[in-house]
Amino acid sequence: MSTTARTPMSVSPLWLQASIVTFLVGFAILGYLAIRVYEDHPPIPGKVVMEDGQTLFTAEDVRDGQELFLTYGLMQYGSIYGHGAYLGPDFTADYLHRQAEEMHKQYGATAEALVRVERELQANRYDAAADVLTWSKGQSQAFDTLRRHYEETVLDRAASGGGGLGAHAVKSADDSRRIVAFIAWTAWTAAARRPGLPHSYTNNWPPEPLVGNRLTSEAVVWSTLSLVALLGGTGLLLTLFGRYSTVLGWHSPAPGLIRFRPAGEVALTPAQQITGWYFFIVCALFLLQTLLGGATAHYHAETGGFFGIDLAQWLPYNLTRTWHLQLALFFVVASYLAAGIFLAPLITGGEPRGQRPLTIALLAALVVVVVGSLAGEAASYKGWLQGASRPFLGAQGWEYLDLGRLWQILLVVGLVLWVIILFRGLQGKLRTESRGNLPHLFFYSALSIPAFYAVGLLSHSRSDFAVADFWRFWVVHLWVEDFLELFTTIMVAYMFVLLGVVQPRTATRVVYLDVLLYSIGGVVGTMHHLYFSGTPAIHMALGAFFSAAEVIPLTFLTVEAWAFMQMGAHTRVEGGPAAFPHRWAVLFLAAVGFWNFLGAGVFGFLINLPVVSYYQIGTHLTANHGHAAMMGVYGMLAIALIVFCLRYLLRPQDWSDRLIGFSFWTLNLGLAWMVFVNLFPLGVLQLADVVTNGYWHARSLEFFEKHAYIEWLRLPGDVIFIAGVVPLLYLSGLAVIRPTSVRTATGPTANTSESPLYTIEPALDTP
Amino acid sequence: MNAIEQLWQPPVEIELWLILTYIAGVLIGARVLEAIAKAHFARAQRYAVHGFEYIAPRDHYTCLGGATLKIDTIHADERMAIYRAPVEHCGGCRLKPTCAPQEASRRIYRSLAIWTETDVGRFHQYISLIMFFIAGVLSTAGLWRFLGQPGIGYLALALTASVACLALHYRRLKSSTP
Repeated sequence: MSTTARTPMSVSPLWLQASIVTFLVGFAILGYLAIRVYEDHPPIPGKVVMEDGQTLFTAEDVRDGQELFLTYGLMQYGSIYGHGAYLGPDFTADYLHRQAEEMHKQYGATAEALVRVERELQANRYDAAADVLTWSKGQSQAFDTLRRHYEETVLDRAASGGGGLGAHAVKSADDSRRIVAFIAWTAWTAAARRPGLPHSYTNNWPPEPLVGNRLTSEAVVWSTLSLVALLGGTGLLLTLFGRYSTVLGWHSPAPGLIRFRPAGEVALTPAQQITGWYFFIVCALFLLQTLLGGATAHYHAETGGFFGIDLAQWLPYNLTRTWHLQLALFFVVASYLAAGIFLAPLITGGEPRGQRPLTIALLAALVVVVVGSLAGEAASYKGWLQGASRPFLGAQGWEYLDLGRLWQILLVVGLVLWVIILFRGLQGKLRTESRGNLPHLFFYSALSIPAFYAVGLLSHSRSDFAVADFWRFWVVHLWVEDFLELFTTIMVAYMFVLLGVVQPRTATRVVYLDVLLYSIGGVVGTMHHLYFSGTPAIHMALGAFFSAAEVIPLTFLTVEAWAFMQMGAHTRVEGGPAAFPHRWAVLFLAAVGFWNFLGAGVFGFLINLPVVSYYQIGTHLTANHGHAAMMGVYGMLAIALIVFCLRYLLRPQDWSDRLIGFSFWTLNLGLAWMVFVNLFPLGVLQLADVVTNGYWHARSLEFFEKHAYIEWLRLPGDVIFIAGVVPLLYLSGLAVIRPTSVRTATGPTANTSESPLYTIEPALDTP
Repeated sequence: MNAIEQLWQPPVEIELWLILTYIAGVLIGARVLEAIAKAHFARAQRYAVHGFEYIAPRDHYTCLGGATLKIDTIHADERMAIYRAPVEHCGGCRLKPTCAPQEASRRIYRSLAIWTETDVGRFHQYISLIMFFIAGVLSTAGLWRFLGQPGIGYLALALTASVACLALHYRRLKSSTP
């Protein structure tokens, strides 16, 4: 038996050991928090009864109601505990406020009545032993009144438009009753005090003076301490960077004179050629996603229609928004998958037989999942599916995990297939390289993508809300913000290694730095999404503290990325800068740096502290962070990867700097317009309204109608942005119709040590 | 109170206060973001030649090994200057395996492009440009919305400041375009 000696680790093993330790510590803390959320989530009483013992609704009604709420897409219309969409009301806050007003009216609308309302709503009359919750006369009557209110104004409204939902969105009166039972239960959890504690199950969220919901002392204390963590952590990291900057960052010896192979001379493997189809589909999805985004935003400007057309009849707000979000995930993730498949042969110098059919099978599977899940969501929201098929084939309805169970499982299977493709493609290097070197890091990070997406399977439409939300944010935060980010960091690092601009050792160091810094803040920082959705205060404490620390690596890695990109500026390229084939890909990466700092760092931190989040969750400030970070960072990264790959997939004569340049400028300026004209200022106005008139009011249609002019001002930015996608679709279409004719046979190339993308010119090195 | 006095009264509407503050924030923010980006650019340039000290009056670098890297070639079209250490010095230097592993002696490639001539610099300048433009758009929208209300003069002032920033920035941008 022959044994192949592995190449030694290119950096100190301490990097690997430190990464493993921080990773394990982070997940140990998350494990503890998982136990706590299962133990301390708000109870769903077996039955809720009136004072005379008559049953109002049961636990089954609440669970059914939650499932109906989700599968009718109401979390993509309004929100619960501030989580969800922004056009409809926050149903928790809205119910709580209307309930208090209704009770106040019933009790005579006096000052004493106010005190009584607050006392009754704060009182926790849940008998755990009997599993029965008793509501006062006022609460019970308010439930009946509000059931009719939501039925008439939202769920079974007679006329379409006027709020983004079609007419008769929920036709069955019994379904409406159960949905309102679920909403009423969430409002109860928001006011009733946890046994033995002075705050509600939601840490006193929403801010509602009528029920005495004010900031908790924990929110103030942990906000302060998280600021200390931020300042202290920044100081510590500044010291470390100042002392060890040459060890930590992107610093390499000069690589010499580089000659990039002309794009037309870089041979592509069969699997790489198939990625042209991926990018074409990705760009088509991206275009559709932006058009749906425009329609979704327009519902805020013109709540009654779309330039006079009753769009809500066919494409209600909850459906456009669901598709907008789902397509954002699909186009971003699909581009990362395709770029991974494209890079693998460049890393190993070839590909094994059978990669092409596997790549085609994965593409077909992705198309099936995308089409099936989008159609299923429409079928579920429109009521075409009934019973158990609604969450299975239709929509599970959790924001970002909207797709039906079947499609979710198939997506996990597709991601596993992708890992198999990558493993087959990389195994030549995996066998020969140390387990701590770049090829292995690339593979481990790829492995984490299906693993952490699969965590979403732990939440389903009937799970306890707090438990489901806990696992949901493992996907939204951990999967997207940590593991996809890690994977793309490694891909970008590899891109620059393959281009000869950075040495593998330097790139490996930065990847470890990324793992370390994100493991410290990002893993436990996931909990900053869960301050007010029924988790105990420990989630707020640790979430606030660690997520404030998350800003530090974010800023430092952005700074380091700048230094990294400057490596290219200090590299001599034969033929001058014009011969560098990836000017636009690098510019898209520069845009990632900008949006990472602003969108993820500044706008993210802005809403991170519990004292801020308490007032702003579910407002446009959240959407502002979402757009600037999701599109600005992950979207721009996806486009950078597409542009990088298209350079080789297109025939040289079909490549157009002008078209890519047009995309670059319009996408960035359009996004800046969207953020600075609409999302951020409207979010600030909304925040002011929360403080002045209450959270429920800032989330009402009345608020949006008053500020419709700011929504109209957004329109030019959206048009500019959408225009920027068209050239990408055109060029990726050309890559499919007229692909480059330079192909390579399957199997490893003769000389794998030589980069397929560049050569170092030896001739000029003679003294 | 006459119409002129009303122009400069403190605004009554909180929304007007917020818009004014926001416009000021956008105008200042544009400059701050660009300044940060420029500082990072300068830092990144320094770090790319870490360990080498540039002596501006003599236009050469000195290295940790004690060599002087004098100007070797200037590629004006590429906006790049190449400095090189003497081969005989590097040949006997213990740092050569890590400093210049692929060359007979160490070269430094110094980009002569200033911030505004680089792609990244241009990106940030355009971001600033759009932010100034947005400040102007918001000032105009505010004037239209709050016409006749106290404090509208401040919005007119914000519009003037936005237009001035926009014009000055545009001029700077055009003058730096190669």
